[in-house]
Amino acid sequence: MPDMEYNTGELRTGAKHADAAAESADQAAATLKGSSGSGSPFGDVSGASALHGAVGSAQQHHAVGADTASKNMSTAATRASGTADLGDDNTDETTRLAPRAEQAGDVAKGM
Amino acid sequence: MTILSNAQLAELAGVDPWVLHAKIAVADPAQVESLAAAFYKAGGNMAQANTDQQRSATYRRQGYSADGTSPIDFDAEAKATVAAPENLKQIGKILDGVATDLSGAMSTAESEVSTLEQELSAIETRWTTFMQSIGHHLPPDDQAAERQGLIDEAVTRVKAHGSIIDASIKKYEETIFGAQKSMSDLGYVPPATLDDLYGDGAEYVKQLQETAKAAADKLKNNHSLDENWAKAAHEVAGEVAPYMNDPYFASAFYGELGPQMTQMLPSLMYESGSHTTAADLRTYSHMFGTAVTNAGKDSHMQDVADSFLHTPQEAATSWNRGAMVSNGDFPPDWLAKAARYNALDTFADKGAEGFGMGWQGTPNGSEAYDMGLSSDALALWTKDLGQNPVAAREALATMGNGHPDDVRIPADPSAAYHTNIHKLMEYGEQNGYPGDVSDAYGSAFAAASGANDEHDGAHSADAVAFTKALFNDMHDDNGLSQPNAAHYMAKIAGSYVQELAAGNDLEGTSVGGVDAHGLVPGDHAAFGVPPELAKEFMKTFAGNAEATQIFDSAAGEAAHHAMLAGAQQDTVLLHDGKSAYGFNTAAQAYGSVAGSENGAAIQVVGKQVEDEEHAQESMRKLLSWGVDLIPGGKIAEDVGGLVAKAPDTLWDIAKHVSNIGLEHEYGAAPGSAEQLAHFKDASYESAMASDYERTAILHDAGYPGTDHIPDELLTSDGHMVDAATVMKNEQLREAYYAYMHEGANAPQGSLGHGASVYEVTKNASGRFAAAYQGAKGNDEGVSE
Repeated sequence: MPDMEYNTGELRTGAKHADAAAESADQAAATLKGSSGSGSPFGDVSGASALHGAVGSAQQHHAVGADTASKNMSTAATRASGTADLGDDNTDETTRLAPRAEQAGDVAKGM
Repeated sequence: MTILSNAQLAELAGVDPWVLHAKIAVADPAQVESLAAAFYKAGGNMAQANTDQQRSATYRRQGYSADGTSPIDFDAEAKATVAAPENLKQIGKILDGVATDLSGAMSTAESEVSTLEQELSAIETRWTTFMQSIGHHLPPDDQAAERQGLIDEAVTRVKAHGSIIDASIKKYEETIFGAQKSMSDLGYVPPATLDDLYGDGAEYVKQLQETAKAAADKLKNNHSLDENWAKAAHEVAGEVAPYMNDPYFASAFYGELGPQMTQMLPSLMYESGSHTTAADLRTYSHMFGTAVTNAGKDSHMQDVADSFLHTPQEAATSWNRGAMVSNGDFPPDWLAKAARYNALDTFADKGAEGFGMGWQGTPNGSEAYDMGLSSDALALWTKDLGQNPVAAREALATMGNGHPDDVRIPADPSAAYHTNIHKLMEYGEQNGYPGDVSDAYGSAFAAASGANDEHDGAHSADAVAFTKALFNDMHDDNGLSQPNAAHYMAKIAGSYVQELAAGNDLEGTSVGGVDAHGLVPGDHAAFGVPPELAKEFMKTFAGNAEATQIFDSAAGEAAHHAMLAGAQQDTVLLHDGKSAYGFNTAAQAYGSVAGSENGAAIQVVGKQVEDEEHAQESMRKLLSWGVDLIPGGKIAEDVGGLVAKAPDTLWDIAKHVSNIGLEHEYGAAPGSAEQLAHFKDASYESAMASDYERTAILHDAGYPGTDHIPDELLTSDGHMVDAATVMKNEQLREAYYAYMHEGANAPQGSLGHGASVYEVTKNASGRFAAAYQGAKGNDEGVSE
């Protein structure tokens, strides 16, 4: 059985930063999606249509990437937060079963 | 009634300002600005997202671990999440530039058309006034003459304003073209996908190809071959440089230049007296690599590529072709075949005789050296192989097989490798000066071994097959190696240091297998090199300070990695009530590597490599590096940084023979005269530095007993202060001495005999020393 260690404070801080990352990425995705141009913004001159296509492809590529990043970080935040809750529960349970702190300390030192 | 319609005026003027205006009038610079702003803003958002993600990962890594490591794959998470904010901002910048030029072009067109219409209106008014006043009294011929005069005036105005609008739009189209290329460089609509495009995409490619052909024609149609040709070659190199990675441009350029001119380009350049040949040739060669790789993009390019795959009649042609291949990224099979056709197969057959007059490829050496190339055609082609690991292996495994187009590596290439390695090294010895040949085969060997592009412990099967043959060959041929190959050989040894360590208990002078039960912790060696063979290989670079440093750096890092893995393994074993052996195994394995290296150095350089002076020198280096590399005021924060910064120095100290047996002289009481005497002894200092590193590794692994290390030897985040800092601070040295004398030597409860920090470092030191002595041999470095 693996030896698990939790530091729930750091996990929760990690979750907050992940949430912030998700928020920023979401804003990026929304900005890119909302800026799609129509018509011929570059005019009807030689090369304009190809450039418009390239910009559109970059816009779509990055909008999808930002959207994925937002979702990934949102999931990471939920997991970190959930793991922190689980860690607190486990600590409560372990303390209830083995209340003698000195024994736990000995075990740790024996590692 | 008007004198002429706009369309008729435009036809007469040869330019249509109204059509041109319409083309630009539909544009919307505000929308382009808005797009630019969106990309900028998204770039800022993603930069912030990346920063937050990294912070989040740091906290989550510290917040949850299973068996000492985080179960989350943060690297994979980062790869899945991180966008490229730089690209977003770059696109914003590109669009900003386009919007500015677009706005300018629109204003010009708007203003010119408006002025033109006022002027035409005035002309129209003059015609109406004329007809209403005196015109209708005049005969038709006079009316027509007046009308024609006004038409001529109107056409002149249309032409003048139309030309200004046309120039403005052409300038804007150039901006669009540049923006398109920038987007392509960033990976959006890359040239390779333009095949699928039509309309403007095809137009873009067409423009590229026309530009490329025009550039090639400047060289092709210039028959002067004097300083003017050199000047043209330099100018063209500057023109084509931005496009040297573009498949369409590169293939169109060389397709237009043709086989003969392409092959002669290097000699034409130096014959014309160019002073910029070296830099220009690098551009032409780089672009030639792109062209050969994309030969299908131009109807004439395949002929040019194929023209290199014929055996030349003399060394000059071979050399010219080799120069064209000296700086590009070519398809491996093509490069292997080209090297064989142009040099290696003739060398395999005729040796130094070459094409009848040897391998001198240029009229005199200096011209080639001015270009940064060897004048020896065989050396040049062999060096070319050093740029491509696959081509190097293919050529070295098949040269002389009678079929230059067959570059498939045989199932067992060891005999072919052995033969060809020997031939090249023998020729290198015959041409010891100026050393081009040894520099060339060193480069090819390093590429073939995977030392340039693969990691130790994860070498490809093909690279391993070559390197096993190379190691085995060095039993016979190490004496043929020349100084210019030294740093390549050191790099190869450094890339196979796990294999050198894995072979520590093997005997003989051939590489062997790795015993599954004797694996070095953390290592993944593909084979084992016996200490004696390791020593023979190391003689190819021993005594060369620069080359030794290359190897020492790799060995120092590998030894640290294995020792840490061994300590971690032991920590788990002790926890499970089992005997620990990982730390000792790693110490023995790398002690053997150090012994082989020192034995080789003694044989090549002599006994001075291990004298007292060397001990003092290596300590001075350690201490000075501590000062140079650790920023002032942040010494305590430099967590284990010295291993990353100066692994070669720590390895140099570890392999220093005079420290052997001194590692555990902690018997004297702290503060005693005996201890003071230790501290003044340079050999003791270097021994203590090695020992301190071992203790720091145990501490990093969480080895039981290291929790008693005094606080003053720890940084604020719980790691041990680096060795350089401790060794130059008397108080810290005494603290470490006291710990090893007392705390580290205390029994650790149920750990069992021999498992305390003091004992395990002592045992590791002993295993290191025993393996070291065994590999090193006697005082002359010779195995007995």
